[in-house]
This record gives sequence, C-alpha cells and structure tokens, in this order.
Amino acid sequence: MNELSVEELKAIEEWGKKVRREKANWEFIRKLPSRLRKALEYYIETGDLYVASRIAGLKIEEFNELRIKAGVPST
Amino acid sequence: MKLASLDTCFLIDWALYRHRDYITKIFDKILVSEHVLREIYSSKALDFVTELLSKGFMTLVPLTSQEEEIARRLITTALSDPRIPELHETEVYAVAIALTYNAIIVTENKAVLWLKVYYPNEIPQPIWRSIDVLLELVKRSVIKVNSVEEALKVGRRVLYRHQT
Repeated sequence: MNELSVEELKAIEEWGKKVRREKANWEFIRKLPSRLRKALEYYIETGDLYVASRIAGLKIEEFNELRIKAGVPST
Repeated sequence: MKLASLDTCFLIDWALYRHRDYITKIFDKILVSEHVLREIYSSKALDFVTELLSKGFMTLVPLTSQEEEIARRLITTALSDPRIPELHETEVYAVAIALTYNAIIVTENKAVLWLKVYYPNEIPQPIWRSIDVLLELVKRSVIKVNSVEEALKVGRRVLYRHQT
C-alpha cells in the first residue's frame, strides 16, 4: 500500500465517522436495549469495533453482526 | 514466501465476501494468533477459518516472549501518545507476529495505522487494508474490472460489507 500521511488518515477518519452517522438506522438503534445502543453509538463515533463489542458484552463478530443489522458501515 | 498476519476485524469482514478464497491467490500463508479465533463464532467465519487451517494455508501462531515483548512495547508507545487510539490484543498481536515473521499486516485498525504514521520505525512492515488487498487482486487480474469506476464499485461493496 501507499504510506498514508497524517492528513490522509485524518480525512479517512472524518469521512468514516460522517458515513457511519449518515447510514446508521437510528430508528433501529434507538429501540435496542441500553447496553447495545450505547455500544453502537460508541462504534459510530470512534469506529473501534473491539471496545464497542466489550461495551455490548459480545464477541467482536457478534457485535459486527449487530453493526450490519443497524446499517452502520464498517469504515 | 509472502506471509500475511491478520487481525480479527479484517478476517470477519473478509469472511463475508463471496470471493473470500481469493486471498489465497496473493498470500502463501496467513498467520493468526488464538486471540483472533476467540472472537469469531458465525458459521461463515468458522467455515472460512477451518477450511484455511485444514488446507495448511492458515497457521495458528503460538505466542512467545518475543511477541509479548513487542506487544508490550507497542501498547506503551500508544498509551504515551494521545494521538494514537487504544490498541487492543487482537491487532497488537497481529502486528507482533508480523514483525517476528516478516509478514504483511492486514488490518483496518486505526491505532495500528496511526502508529505506522507516527512511529514508522516501530512498524517497518507494510500494512494493507481491505482496499489494498482488493487492489492487489485487481493488479494480478484475479478480479477483472473494466474501468476505474467498476473497481471502485467492487471496493465500496466489500468495504461497506452490506451486499457481499
């Protein structure tokens, strides 16, 4: 891969956060139990799948399935 | 021999891709730590992993004091620099394995990407994201595309992981 610069990586992170916020199915997320909702909100803001899965009390892959159901892109 | 060290997040997303076996066309062997296996449970991911393991294409690498030391060093670096996000066990051991066995690191993890940007000497190995794996497949004509637009469409579909 081409080495990423600080600016490129920052731009990727900002774009990722924007896309996650925009594409998320907020209606679905709002109906979830508090722990899962908080975990998804954390993921949308940070993109950190590991910590989000721990907040949810799930394995990474289980949380990833919830992410897909909630329409949140993996960015 | 072209080795790749994978972290969990890449693996579970890649397992959903309908052409997931294409990965065997660009790497000779995939290395993972048991931390990666602990985080998967779906039949799709387990099928993928067990198939690769049984064909000898994937190896479960035992962690030694060397990888533990590398992991500790990277975590300390990340903790002492507020510009670096949290580094977790699945990705830090993927990096440690890559450093030990001279493998390409395959991850989307932001902490690893930031570490590479700010501390390139700590991670001399190349890091590939999903898009880099896909570009390599296009470059080797494993995935055939007629235009840049089509390549981007394939990339977007895989990266979004909604319609794989």
